[in-house]
Amino acid sequence: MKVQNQMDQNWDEIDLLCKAAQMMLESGAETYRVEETVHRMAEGMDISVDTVAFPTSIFVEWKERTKVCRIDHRRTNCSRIDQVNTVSRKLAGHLISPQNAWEQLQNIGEEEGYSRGTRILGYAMCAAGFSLLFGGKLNEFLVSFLIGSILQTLLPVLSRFTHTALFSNIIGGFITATLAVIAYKTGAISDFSPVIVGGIMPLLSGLLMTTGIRDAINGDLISGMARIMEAALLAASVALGVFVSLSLFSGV
Amino acid sequence: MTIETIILTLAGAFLGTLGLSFLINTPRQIVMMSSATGMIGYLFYKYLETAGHGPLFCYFVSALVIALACEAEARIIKRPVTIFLLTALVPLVPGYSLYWSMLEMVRNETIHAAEDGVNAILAIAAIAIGAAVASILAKMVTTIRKRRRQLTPPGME
Repeated sequence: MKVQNQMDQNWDEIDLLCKAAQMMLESGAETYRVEETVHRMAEGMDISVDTVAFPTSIFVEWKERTKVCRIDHRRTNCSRIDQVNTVSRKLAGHLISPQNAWEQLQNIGEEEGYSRGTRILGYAMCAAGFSLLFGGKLNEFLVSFLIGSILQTLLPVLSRFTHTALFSNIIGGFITATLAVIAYKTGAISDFSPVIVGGIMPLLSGLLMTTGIRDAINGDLISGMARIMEAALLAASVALGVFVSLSLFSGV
Repeated sequence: MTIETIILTLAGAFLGTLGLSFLINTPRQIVMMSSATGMIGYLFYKYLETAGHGPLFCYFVSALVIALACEAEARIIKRPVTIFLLTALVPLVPGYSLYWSMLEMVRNETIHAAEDGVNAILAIAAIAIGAAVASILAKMVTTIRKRRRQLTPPGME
């Protein structure tokens, strides 16, 4: 945050471009879209830049100066993609000055958008909905709903201590499977697979893999591989949590 | 398909997409729209699957249809198409086979894990290719329209 405050006072075009690209990559936009946005914004400021974006880093070159940004944590956030995109369109259309664009980008910040309660409800609905798709009935639906709300209550607390998604995924998988097995043992549900799959669906990030393949189709091979790798790791960590729980409590 | 499966599919896909869109912070204005797109798209997938088509074909065609709908919506509301896709494609993701594949891998059943894993990855690839084809088609339409606009007004030069 300190660095940001210093940059508030004196920044130039390259900082603006880097900031916009960084925000989009952190929110899970495709790399070709990020590069397109940087070029569009540069056109709006009548400068010509070169840029390379990866899911983990971004390079912007202008007038023999290169700025490198590291992308530390990535988390899908559609609202942020949308807002940065709006700012870039306005800048490209000469509707706002670079100064205005910079201020607007600063204002987007890290806001969560939906309240904590809505997110809990969201996780619960997601888990319950997917348990229906994977063969659950009313009982499984209700149990998944409960498990989902418990998970979304616990996981943000957990992520306060660590930024590693792998760890919270392992714990998430473990809690989901344990609660599902308990519900199964008490006779509340007749099959625990739909409940587990529903509960881990928001953690799996299968869409990350789709984004990776779309990146690869667009020619960004390295970005594509990086994203596919990330998605596979996340899925494996969820499965590890589920497996530990199942082998402890149900004897797979 | 029985009425019961249709209702369960619709409800599940809608709730699942709606819930996830709260988690990935989809803008309020498009939440309902993209959830409905995801729901109808998943019903279409389910219909194709019951009609006896191969799984990859089903994934490809339904992803293509959903992505085309997303492209149209994005152009109407003037928002980036990514945020529509990230929400509406969610029900198609083959979470079940991904989960089984990983579970079998940690259980040391490598052959089953490979089978399910390859199926899941092929399904994801089919979805991604469907989305990519849709975006290529959409870009083609935009280019053709632009060219026509440049050609139509005579005497502008």
